This record gives sequence, structure tokens and C-alpha cells, in this order.
Amino acid sequence: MRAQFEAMGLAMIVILIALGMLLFVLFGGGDKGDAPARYETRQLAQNTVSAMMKTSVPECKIQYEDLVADVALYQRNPCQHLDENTSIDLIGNITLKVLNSTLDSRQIRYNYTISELKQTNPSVHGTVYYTAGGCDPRVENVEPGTRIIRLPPSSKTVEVRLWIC
Amino acid sequence: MHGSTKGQVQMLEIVVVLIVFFMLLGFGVLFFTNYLGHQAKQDLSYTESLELAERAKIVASMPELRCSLRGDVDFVCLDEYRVEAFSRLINSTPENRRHYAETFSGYRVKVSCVYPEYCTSRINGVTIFDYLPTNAENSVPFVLPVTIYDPLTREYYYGELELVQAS
Repeated sequence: MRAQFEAMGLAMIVILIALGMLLFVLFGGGDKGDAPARYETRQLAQNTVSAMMKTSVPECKIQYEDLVADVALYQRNPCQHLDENTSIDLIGNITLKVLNSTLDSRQIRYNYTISELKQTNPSVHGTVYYTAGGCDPRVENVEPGTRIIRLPPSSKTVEVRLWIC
Repeated sequence: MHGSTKGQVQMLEIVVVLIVFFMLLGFGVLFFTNYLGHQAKQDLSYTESLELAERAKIVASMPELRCSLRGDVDFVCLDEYRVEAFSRLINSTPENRRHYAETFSGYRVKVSCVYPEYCTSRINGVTIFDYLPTNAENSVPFVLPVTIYDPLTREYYYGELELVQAS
């Protein structure tokens, strides 16, 4: 009878130790999730968009951001001496060259979109002017880099967004 | 004699219970130390990648390298001529090398131009710092996209800052 009590006592100790370890693993182990990886990805996405907006169009005294504005407002060819017909063609050409040599070459999946933001509801996207990349940001856990460009005197606002999947 | 047999059986029971107890405790400790080891490795890798991101930001904001236009500072922009001059100067004397050794010890930092094509031949893997110990295993490179500014033509190029850490 005494030995049975002892056995039960020891079993209780084992259960308590196991419970303590389990609680440590669940709450105290410091599982940081994927926060650092997400931080890195967000940096990459945001810096890619920022650097791309400033990039000059070769042999044409304008920047990529001016091309985005042209796409939303006129869709003409701001660099007459280049082969591309419109600013959209030029944007497509530059974007693919940059993203092919950076994200694609490292097998990083992305979705790059230039779209109009509706004035009535800025969270709703209007016309999509340009899109590249394969991943679907609606179903994948992704981090975006964004640049919002207002185009006065028109009431248009354009959003350039890069999702890294 | 009868009492002694009962006592022996009880003793045997206690021994069996103790063996089972220590076996369970041993398995628990084994599992727990394995878990802690795995967690420590993961933490180390996270710390390394965050350190790389932090160093990349330090490099991009260094007045020796960053571009400034009419006093306006852009933290994702490097001046092409400053980068070239700096990469030459840093290795010209041991004193220059020592000056940055404390901050960038164990790191290698390179700048490359990605777009347009004529810029890639001018700035292609220009080493800014190289404080990697020889024969050291390197971490996965951390890449920070930047713009590279040419003050003569006033053009901006798309470039990348690549950092590697000795692990």
C-alpha cells in the first residue's frame, strides 16, 4: 500500500515536470515566429520600390516615377528616340530588366503592380496599368513595399506595390 | 520469514518505480535539451540576419558614401564617385583600414549596379569593406536595393548593396 502511494507520488512529480517543460515550450521558449524574416522581406520590398522609382530612364532626362505618372495620365512616349511606343512599354521593359536581374535571379517570387487608387475609397484599386510576377498576394503570406504617387492637378493617385512572397 | 518476503517485494516495487521514474525523467531532459539546442540555432540565425540588415543601413547612411543633393539626404542612395574613391582609399593605408575595422569587423560589403547596362560595367561588385577572415564560412548574403547617383550626368541607377558576414 505504501509503495503504491510512493509510486503515485513519483508519477505526480513526473507529470508536473512534463507539464512545466510543456508550458516552457509553449509560452516561455521565445518562439519568435518569422518576425526577422518578415522584417528582411519588407526591407527588400520597400527598398526595391524606392530605388526603382528614382532610377533614371537611360538617355532620357526623366525618372521611372515620371514614367508611372505618364502611364496614369497620358500613355504617350516621353522618350521619342527610344524604340518603345508608349510609357507602358517603357515601364515594362525597365521593370523586367531590373526584376529579372535581382529577384528572379535569386528565385524570389513576387507580384509587382502599378494601379490607380480610387479617390472615393483609397483601399479600392481602380485600373491596373501594369503587373508582373507570379505570386498571388491574396492567398500567400506576403510583405509589400509601396509608393503612392499623387498627380496634381488631376485628381488621380497611383500606387506602385511590390509583394514579396 | 513471511514479513521479510513482503518487505523484499515492497523494496522491489520501489526499485521498479524509481527505474521508470528516472527513465521518464531522462527522456524528458533529452527531448528538452534537443529542443533548446534547435531554438538556440534558430535564434543565432535570426540575430545574424538582423545584424546584416542593421549594418546595411549603417553603410547606406555613411556620409562618405551616400549622395546628398542640396543638403537633402537620401538614405537609399549612394554617390558613384564617393563609392569609387572610398573603395580605393580604404585599402590604401593600414590606418584607413583600421579606422572602420571596429564597426565592420567580420563583414564584407560590395556595391553593384544592376540597371542600366552601361552602369553595370562601371560599378560591378566594387568592394567597400572586406574584413572577412580568410577561410571563414560566410553567411547567406543580405541584399539591400539602393540607387547609385552619378553627379556628373545627374542620373540615378538601380544598384544593390551586398553584405556577407563571417559565421
